[in-house]
Order: sequence, then C-alpha cells, then structure tokens
Amino acid sequence: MIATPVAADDPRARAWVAHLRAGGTVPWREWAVSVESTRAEPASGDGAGPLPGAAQLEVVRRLAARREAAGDRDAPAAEASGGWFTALADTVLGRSGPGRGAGEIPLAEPAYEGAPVSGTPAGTPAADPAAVPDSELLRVCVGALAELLVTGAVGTRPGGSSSGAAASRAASAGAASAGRQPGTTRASGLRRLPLRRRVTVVGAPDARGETSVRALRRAGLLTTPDAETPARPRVVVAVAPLEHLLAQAWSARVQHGAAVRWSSFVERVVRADRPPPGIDLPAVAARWADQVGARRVALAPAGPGLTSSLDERRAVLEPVAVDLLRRLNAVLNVRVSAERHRLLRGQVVALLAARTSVQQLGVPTAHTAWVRDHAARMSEALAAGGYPVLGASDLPALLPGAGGPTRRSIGAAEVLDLALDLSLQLADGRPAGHRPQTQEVHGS
Amino acid sequence: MTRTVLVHVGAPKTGTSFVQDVLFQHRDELASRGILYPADRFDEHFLAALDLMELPWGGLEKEAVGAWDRLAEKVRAWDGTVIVSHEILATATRPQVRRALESFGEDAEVHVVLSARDLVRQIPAEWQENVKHRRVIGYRDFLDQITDPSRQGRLASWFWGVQEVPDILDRWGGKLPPERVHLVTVPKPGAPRTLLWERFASVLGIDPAEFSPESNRANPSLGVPESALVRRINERVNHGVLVNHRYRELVRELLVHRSLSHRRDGARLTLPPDVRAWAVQLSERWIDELARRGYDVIGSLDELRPDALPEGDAQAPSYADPDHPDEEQVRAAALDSIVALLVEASRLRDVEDGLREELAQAHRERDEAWAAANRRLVYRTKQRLVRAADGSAAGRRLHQVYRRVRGRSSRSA
Repeated sequence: MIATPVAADDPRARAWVAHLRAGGTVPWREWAVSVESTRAEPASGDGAGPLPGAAQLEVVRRLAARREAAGDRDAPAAEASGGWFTALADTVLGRSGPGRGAGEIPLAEPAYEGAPVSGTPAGTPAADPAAVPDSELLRVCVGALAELLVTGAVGTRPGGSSSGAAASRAASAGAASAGRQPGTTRASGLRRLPLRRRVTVVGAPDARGETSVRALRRAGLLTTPDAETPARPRVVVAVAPLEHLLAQAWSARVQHGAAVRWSSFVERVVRADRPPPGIDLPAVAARWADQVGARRVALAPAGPGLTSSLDERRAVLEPVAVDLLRRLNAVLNVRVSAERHRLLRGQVVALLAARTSVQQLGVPTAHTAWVRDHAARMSEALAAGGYPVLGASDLPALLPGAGGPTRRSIGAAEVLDLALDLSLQLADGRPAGHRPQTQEVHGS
Repeated sequence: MTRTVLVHVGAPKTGTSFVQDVLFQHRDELASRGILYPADRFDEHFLAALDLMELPWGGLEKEAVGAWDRLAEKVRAWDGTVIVSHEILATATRPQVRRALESFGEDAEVHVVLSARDLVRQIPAEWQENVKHRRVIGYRDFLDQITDPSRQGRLASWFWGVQEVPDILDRWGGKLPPERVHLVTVPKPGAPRTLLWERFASVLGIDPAEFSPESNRANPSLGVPESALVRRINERVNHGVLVNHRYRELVRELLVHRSLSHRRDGARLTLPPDVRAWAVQLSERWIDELARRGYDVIGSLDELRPDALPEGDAQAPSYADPDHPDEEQVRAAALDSIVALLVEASRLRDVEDGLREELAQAHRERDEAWAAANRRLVYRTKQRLVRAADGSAAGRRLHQVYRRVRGRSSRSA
C-alpha cells in the first residue's frame, strides 16, 4: 500500500513536531488519532515551512526516548521554553541525511480505518516514522552527529558544559577507571626507564606499543632465563586469533580515518589472500628477527598480562563503536580538512572508549574457512621460525577458542542506539557516566 | 544589473557533460560577455555538489571540503549571469536546495534548468552508469529495485532522485514562478546533432553559433555484451584489487570510453517488454503533470514520450538480456579489451623507457658536471699555490723541486 503524505499545514502534524521538539515521545500513529492532537496549538516557530521528514522526526522521538530511559524524566517540562534538547532536535530536523539514501521521506497519514486514500505517488514514498528502517534513521543521526562535532556544542545545559569538555571528561573517566591519573599514560613512565629495559610489542594492533622486561616478568610472562626463554627479549610479537587480529586491524584503520565496512574490509583481505602487513605475524617476526636477531624476538599471547603494561596510544573500541566511527568518518571526510578530521576523531574516540563492554567480532560466516586455513598457515610459519614463546611452552593459538566470536555482524539498530546516546551526550555536555549503558551483547 | 543565476541540475545522461565541457572551454569568452561559468578546474561544480550533499565519492570527496561555499562566493561576487551545472544536483533534498539557493544571495534571480530524456532510454543508461561505477548488480535486479514502489535501498533512491523529473523540479523549483523553471527535452534519435546544443544555448543566453561545440567529453553508451563484460570485470577487480583512481583511469576511461564504447557489433541495451510498458505508463503521467505546471519547456514534452515499438515488424530487434549475453560477443569484446590494455601497457613501457633514459642522461650530466667542478677546483687550487709559492724564494725553490719530482714521475710512468 502506498501511504498518503500529510499536508504541510496539517495542525496535528505541526503540533506533533512541537511535541517532539519539547522532548515528547508519543509515536505519530498514537498522536494523530488522539484527542490531544486536535486540541494542540502549534508552538511559535513550528507552523511555517515544509514538514520535516519522517526519518528526522523519528530520530528526534528516539532521542527523547533514550533520554527518558536514562532517567531524565523532567526533561519535557524543562524544554517548554527551549533548551539544549530543542536545539538538538532542530539540528536533526533541519538537515538531510548525508551520503546516499532515501531522500526526504514525507510524513504519512497513519494507517487507520478511514484514512485518506493514496493519490498518485511522486517523489520518495511517505512513511509512518515508526516504519522508517533503522539504517535510514542511523544515516540521519550520523549526519546530525557530524554537525554537532563540526559546529561545536548545540546547547549548554544549565550547570553543564560544552561537548569538547564532555569529551575530555570522558577521556579522564576512562583513564581513572584504569587506575591512572588522567593525562598520564604508562608510556610516559616507561620513557623514564633505562633504554636497555624497553621491549617493543608488535603484532596484535590493540597490544602494540612498548613494555619493559620488569613488567613482563611481573606479569609472569618472563621467568628465569633458560635454554628456551631469552633473558631480555627486544621485541615481543603479540599473538591473538586471526579473527581478533583482523577486527583489531579494522578498528585501527577506522581510528585513522577509514570509512570501510567490516564486511568489505574482510572481503578485501580474503580477496588478496593475505592479512594486512601489520598482522601478518610470521612476516612481522621475520622482519624484526633480521634487525635484532631471532633470539631477541619472542612470541606472547596478546592477553591482559601483556596489554596491561602497554602504552595505550590506541583506544580499544567495541565493534559497534568502530562501526559508528567509520560512518562518521565518511561524513567528516567531506565536511572538514584532514587535520580537523583528525582532531574531531580523537574527540569521538575519547567518548566511545569510555564504553567498556567487551565484544569479540568475528569474520562473516562466508569467510570462516579462509580464516581457519590461513591461521593454520600462520601457525606453521611461526613455529618454523623457532621463536621463543613467553608465558607458555606452546605457540599461542591463532584460532579462536571453543566459544568463538561473540558476533559476526553489526546491526544498524545497535549502532543507532549508540549514535543517539552520543548525540545526547554531545548536545547535553554531560559525561558518559550519567547515561546508563543500554548496549547489549548480541549473539552471533 | 540583475544578478541572474542559472542552476542546471541534471539529469544524468542528457548531454550534461557535453554542455559543461563547452562552458568550461569557453569560460573566458563567456565572461567577457557577462556570463560567468565559475570553474578553475573542470570538475569544480561536481565537487561543490558533493560538498552540498555530503556525498562520499570514492575518495574524491576529500577534495570537496568547502567547495560549495567557494562556488557560492564566486556566484555572489559576479554582477551578471552565472551558470552552475552538475547533474548530481538533481538528487538534492529540500534542505540542501534551500541552502544552495540561499547561498546565491537574496538579490539573485534564480532560474532552474533541467534537461530530460524519455525513461525508456534513461533506465538502461542509468544501469550502465552503475556498471561504469564498479557496481556488480545484474540488469534484472536493477530493474526490480527501481520498479518497486517502496523505492527502498540506495540504488532505487538514487535512481529516482536523479531521474524523476516532476519531483526534481518540485524540489528545486517549487518556490519559483514556473517561467523561471526551464525544462530542456533531449531530441529523439535522428534529430540534427546540434539541436540539443541550440536548446541549451537558448536557455543559457548563449549564441549557439558563436560557441559551436568542439567538445570531446561525451559520456558514451555501451552495447549489451560490453556492459556484461564490464560488470564481470567489476566482480574481479573490486574489494581492493584495483584502487578507485586506477579503476577510473583504466576501466572507465581506457576500456569503456576509449575502447568498448566504439564497438557497434553487439545489441544495444533496451528495456524488457514488461518494464517498457510500465515506463511508458509512467511517462504519460509525468507528461500530464509537467504540462499542468506550466514550466518553460525548450523542445517538447512529447519528446519525453517513448517511441512506440513497430508492430509486427520482423526487422525490429528483439530484447537482448545483458544478464545472459551472447558469450561469443562478450569474448570478442574481451579480446578487444586485452588489445586496448596491451597497447596502453606498451605505451606506458615506452614512457617508462623514455623516463629511464632521461634519468640516465641526467645522472651522466650530473657526474660530468661533478668531475668538471672537481677539475676546476684542483686547477684553481694549484694556481693559488703556484702564485703563493712564486711570492718567495723558498716557495720558488719548493716549486722547482715539485716540478722535477713530477717530471721524473711522469717519465717513469
């Protein structure tokens, strides 16, 4: 059935727009048939111009719902005179989604008995906002997020602060939760160590950096020197299951500005039949062995014992956060210069890194066989290299354990939830800790 | 003087590349007549459109940062007529159109120009454009997506965004009086080649004879086997095998534009009968709607009506399906492609050899210059030493000793 677009001067629709701008959460279908809608008078500023699109309206409604779910139940009253949420709503309502996607989706007459019959369609078909696909809502929300980032905070909550401050607070909160003083990394401590005690960690992207012999020993990875274990390795190759390595490499690329999808990234790797150079562990180990000698290169599982003592130059982001960031990258590429993009990306990463749920991303099912085969080849090549192994006598596994990855894809709905939360956070200026983590771990 | 802005917003495959090329080539002469085509590079308006619509485009979008505002600044600064033209502007949404029109300044008299061709020719052309932009979607899948009334998915959204003539003109010209909305129709096959240019020129206020088209920048179409071949190539070079800028150079430019589009043996791409019937019906609705709106039509709305198929004509070509092409013809196209690539590879080898020779020559010249400089330095040093030695009795004696020693050495050598 082709839905009928609502007329631009329809008072119910105008009143609903006002309701949403004030933080209301009533869906269009309920609103349109309620008595309230017929009594409502459009607020000033809500009665002129074309109606916003259905996707934009639904994003604003979802923002309000997320805000309400986070416990801000007095919000609608506070918005009566216009506040940060109204400013955020206007940012969303006044923009189109970036990139390719549906055009402006007109607001549809709700499908109830006696609804007007559809006329000849022209342009994008009208839709009930509740029926707009999550992917389209996400596109709109990412555009609004980019706008917030590029233009700075859209509003300031009384007693709150700007989005930039929110980002720095989030970064501080993340550092504090790791038991460190904000602004101080392990690396700065390591830099004070005598040069001879430094150990370079390569391999798994999330583990790369520097550590020390003492830290390795403390973590139980380095025991008394014997014939098998070097006294002081110069380089440690952090080994993880190949799927994890790929996910980390994707995350690293996105954190450097790439906009590539997870599935496309894996597809390229499989098509090339080789992993990216940084996670081609046999090649990495061989290169370092040429430089420092094979006895000074060791393998170690990229577990907590290794990573806890590392320079944290790159944030560890959950897959949903990486996907949101790559969507933002696509917009920021065309909105700002490369240098500004880098700065804004850092701000977003600081906010996203505050989310700590651990999810392991696996390759799409179609490529698991390639991963299995290639992991076996990598294991053989590493074993043939004869590198000592730290913390265990066996070569760390390049295949995932029995449980396998938590997920193999990233759904638009969960990325949308994160985008909504981040939009609220940027617009409101409150730190991440004020909003509950509503993200769930989805099964594969 | 009235500031007039003519915004040519599409549609793709209606001669837009050709018009833009003529405008770009003659921009200086046009400017001297009070008509500005503000472009320092041929794709300047394309980049501005990417910026306006926040469109990623295979990495080119990074060059588009701030491009619309720069273009709008040039438009506002010109006291006369300005032409802005790019076909992807057709897909702009109302908020984007609002931003674009506002950016031209309040005192600008804006005219919207859209060139249009009948749907039966446009639909196959759009699929070919998709294929030429690395897509691998089959023709039938493409047709199914665009004929689905829900228009869900990026492909259908884009197609209707740039091809639905009444909606494009509603988005761009909805707030303008109809006489400032100009619809240029593309003549039917067989019309004089200059007719389309004359129509464009009349709406742009240009003398068509003075700026006669010499453009080589066409956007040629492919036959059925060639389209099928390029789609299969895409399946093999996507996902990292060929990066975007090399794809543009080697596949789109070299293979498609310079080689495969010149082949004329294979069947031409048309619509299957069911989709053709649907397109004919839709075209009639569009023609009625456009007539009702009273726009300024340059050409005739009848030209948007697809030609009828000759009834019972045994000579009429049957529909050739690019999803199931004549494999013999595809092989022939593939062989031509190999030859084109070999010729190009050979040319590049020649270029490489030439560059190597230039480099070797540069190295030789550098070495010779270095040796000459050394010789000069040694000679000058000797001269200074001799002059210094000749200034004193001890020095002269030392010099004489040196000459005797050198002489003996020379002899013994």
